[in-house]
Amino acid sequence: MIRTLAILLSLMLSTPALAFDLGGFSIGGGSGKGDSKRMHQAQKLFKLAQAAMPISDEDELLLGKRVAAKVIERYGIENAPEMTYYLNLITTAIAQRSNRPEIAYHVAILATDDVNAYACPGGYIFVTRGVLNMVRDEAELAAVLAHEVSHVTERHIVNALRNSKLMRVGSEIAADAFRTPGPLLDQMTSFATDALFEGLDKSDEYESDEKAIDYLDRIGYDYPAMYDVLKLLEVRRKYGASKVLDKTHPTPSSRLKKLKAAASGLSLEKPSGIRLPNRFAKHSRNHKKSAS
Amino acid sequence: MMRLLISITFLLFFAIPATAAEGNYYIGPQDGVDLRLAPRNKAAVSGHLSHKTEVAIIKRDRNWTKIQTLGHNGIKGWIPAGAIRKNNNTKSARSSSSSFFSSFTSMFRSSNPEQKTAVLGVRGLEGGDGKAADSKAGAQSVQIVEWMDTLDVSESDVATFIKDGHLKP
Repeated sequence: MIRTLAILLSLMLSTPALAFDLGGFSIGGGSGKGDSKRMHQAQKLFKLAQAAMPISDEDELLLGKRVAAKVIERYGIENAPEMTYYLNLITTAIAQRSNRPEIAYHVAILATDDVNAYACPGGYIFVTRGVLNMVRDEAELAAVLAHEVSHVTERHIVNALRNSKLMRVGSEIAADAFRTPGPLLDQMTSFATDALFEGLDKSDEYESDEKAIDYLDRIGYDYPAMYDVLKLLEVRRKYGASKVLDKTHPTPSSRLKKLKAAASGLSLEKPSGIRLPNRFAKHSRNHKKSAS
Repeated sequence: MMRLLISITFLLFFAIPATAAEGNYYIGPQDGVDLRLAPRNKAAVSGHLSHKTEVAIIKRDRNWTKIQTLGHNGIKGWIPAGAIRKNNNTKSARSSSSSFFSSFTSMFRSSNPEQKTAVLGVRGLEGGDGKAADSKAGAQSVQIVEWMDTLDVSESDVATFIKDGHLKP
């Protein structure tokens, strides 16, 4: 067993990005309780090795473009330049204070009345027309966007992909997939698109809620706006008006409960009270006018 | 022995990526900014950085950023996050708002000149050969993503937007 770990260690020293696959591979010859514990530890190490496999920002952007194309294919984009510009201003302002300000974030409006938003790897963010009709002020809209920005800053889809079976092919093959698009990259795109449309891990959603209020606080929006968005979503859920969102996210009430519990540990400043309902109303009016 | 190996393995995993720093930033305010020893207004001032001093970001802590100067012998310290600007020579340099709107207009015109509705998308492409429609839809979607890359907002517009909304500079 020690020899196995030593080999593993030496492999890591020589090729830090190597992916290890334990599928069908047995370590050691013992069958005692201690060995099973050690094997479990070794498996955890393999898992960590896999999770540590890097996907560069460049690879992430390539993947993000492909996933974003799938989102556009499904819904279509609205011709609403002023509202789109407004969304990009809010998002850029948030992203500048985020944990990942170095990449470019781009937002577009999806032509659907469903209430939902999507964040693709690499910074492509989509908000539905339904969201724009639901929120009541700029702070609530910023809360939705901050939640999406944090999916990108925390690389939720990329991490899900890194932990997937697809990446067990090994780092070299995976890296080749990005350099020479083929079936493996197609599979990666499908995996990431499914994660987006079918829902991320619940813990990712909770984390994004938590990051969102932190980001709102950093830029000075009234962060309880995030609570209000969740309350609005809960009302819609009760009336069966958020079926798509219900499939992909934990219930708004559970998110609210978790978020309020987490907020106490975030050392946030006193809520600023900055909601900017008039600025939002101006853009919203113009948007509705141009759409009609 | 085994514990030692596991510890070294973990150290290797977590120590390597922690060395990365974000580059391509500079000091924005015309009159420069004080460099502090800790992320607090009352922390001791360890130096002063003048306008346009190039810095790399080491760490962020809410409204403060730990930086290292790219010249000046690589001095480290904390400055308010709002004092940092992204270098316009980097790939995410922003264009002006006019280019944003002209990009929008040209995309919608060129993509489907006959389209009277507000939707630019691929619905309605079905019909005839399903595969051909799928392929056309895919190609158009990729084109729209490329177009999204041009939807940049200018640094000055973001600054004005923040100021007008009384948000934190």
